[in-house]
Amino acid sequence: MAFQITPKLINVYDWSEYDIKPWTQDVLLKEITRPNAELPRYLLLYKDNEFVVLDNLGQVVLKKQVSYTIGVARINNNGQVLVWSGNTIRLYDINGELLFSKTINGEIDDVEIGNEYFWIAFHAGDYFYVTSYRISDFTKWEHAMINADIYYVDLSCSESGYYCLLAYHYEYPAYHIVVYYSFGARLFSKGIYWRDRSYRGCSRMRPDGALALFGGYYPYEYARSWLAVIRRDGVHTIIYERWYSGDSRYQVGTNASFTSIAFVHGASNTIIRKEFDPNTMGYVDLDPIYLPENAEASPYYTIEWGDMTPDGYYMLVQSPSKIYIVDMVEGVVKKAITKGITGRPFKMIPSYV
Amino acid sequence: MIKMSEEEEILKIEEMKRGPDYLYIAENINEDIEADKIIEIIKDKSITLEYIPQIKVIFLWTSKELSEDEYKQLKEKYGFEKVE
Repeated sequence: MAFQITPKLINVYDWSEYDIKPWTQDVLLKEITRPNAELPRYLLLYKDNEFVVLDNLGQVVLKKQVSYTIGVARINNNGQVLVWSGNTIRLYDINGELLFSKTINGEIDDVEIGNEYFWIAFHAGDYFYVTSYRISDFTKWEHAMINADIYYVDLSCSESGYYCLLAYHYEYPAYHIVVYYSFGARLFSKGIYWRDRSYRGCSRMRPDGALALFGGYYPYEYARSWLAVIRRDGVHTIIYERWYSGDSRYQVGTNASFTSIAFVHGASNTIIRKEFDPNTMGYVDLDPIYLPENAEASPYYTIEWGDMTPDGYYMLVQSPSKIYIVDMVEGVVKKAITKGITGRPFKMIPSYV
Repeated sequence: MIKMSEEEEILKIEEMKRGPDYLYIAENINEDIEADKIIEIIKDKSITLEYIPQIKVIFLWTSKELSEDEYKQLKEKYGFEKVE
């Protein structure tokens, strides 16, 4: 199934929109993603055998064909792309040159890239590894843990990549565990009692690495879906929880400082807003914003869907048929863009001209 | 019965001590490596292959020392040398 993908430049002063030309093509889109950065500069779009990097004016920076099937791709704010394919990861420079490849005889769990470091979590042999590489010289830091019972691994790193959050599900007892890393130094491990089941895509780190948002759910008869913010010193706050059902996966937007956190879950039209204080780790509930229709449910436990501009003024959420740009100050939907794709995340980057 | 609680605890998941890693290097490699073919040669070990095109070097890390037969094959096909 092919999708027509047309990036749009939207003018927030008059809400006019411009299709970006000449880049428009039918692609078997897998994902649209952007760097985790205070001022993200690129959009990365990829399909099975090609990835495309756009800058914040919608211009094609790189269109790269590859000879293998792309599983997951991530981009940093220098336009470097980390591609995960099977048991191999490859790092490409902004001009498409291959800088590094790594292959293991095991299973890669997740990858993340910052401007200076990238991270890989994988199982091989008897061990589970968390490895970081410095991009400038490929110096490596690595932790190895016994691999038994570690599932549903998720990494999210800061803009530089200096800090990384590892979330994983530990089989018994059913703990949801998060670990903050820096250069292979484990800053802390935290098991949160009976809050089960992280999943790839369940966390998002503040660009400076001071905080991370992560989600999961209580299992079984006490099923609850929840979101938490964790600080680099291990202090955490549960900011939201609700009865878990199949439609309770989130679309989340955060500003660059995480003082504004907003989310909507599938089968709901209500954007829930929190004003978060990183100093006290407390939050205040703000008035919700209502969409004209219910939001689309993101995949299980992920919070990768949804987006917000770094200044917190605008949020992107999607329904099954539309992308909405919401003015978070006025609390109203300002733009609705019809889409023909379901089951895919969308991202936006600010453009200052 | 599942206990509902906000209780938290720091889990003590000890990091396991790995045995020493063994490193082998092949130089003057001009193309992306056929990693899976290299991995097929090596048995019963954790393997990491790192390739840096700019310096044309492959680093092969293994959790156990290569057998004589494995080392011979990798040396003949790709020029791997053990780093002592």
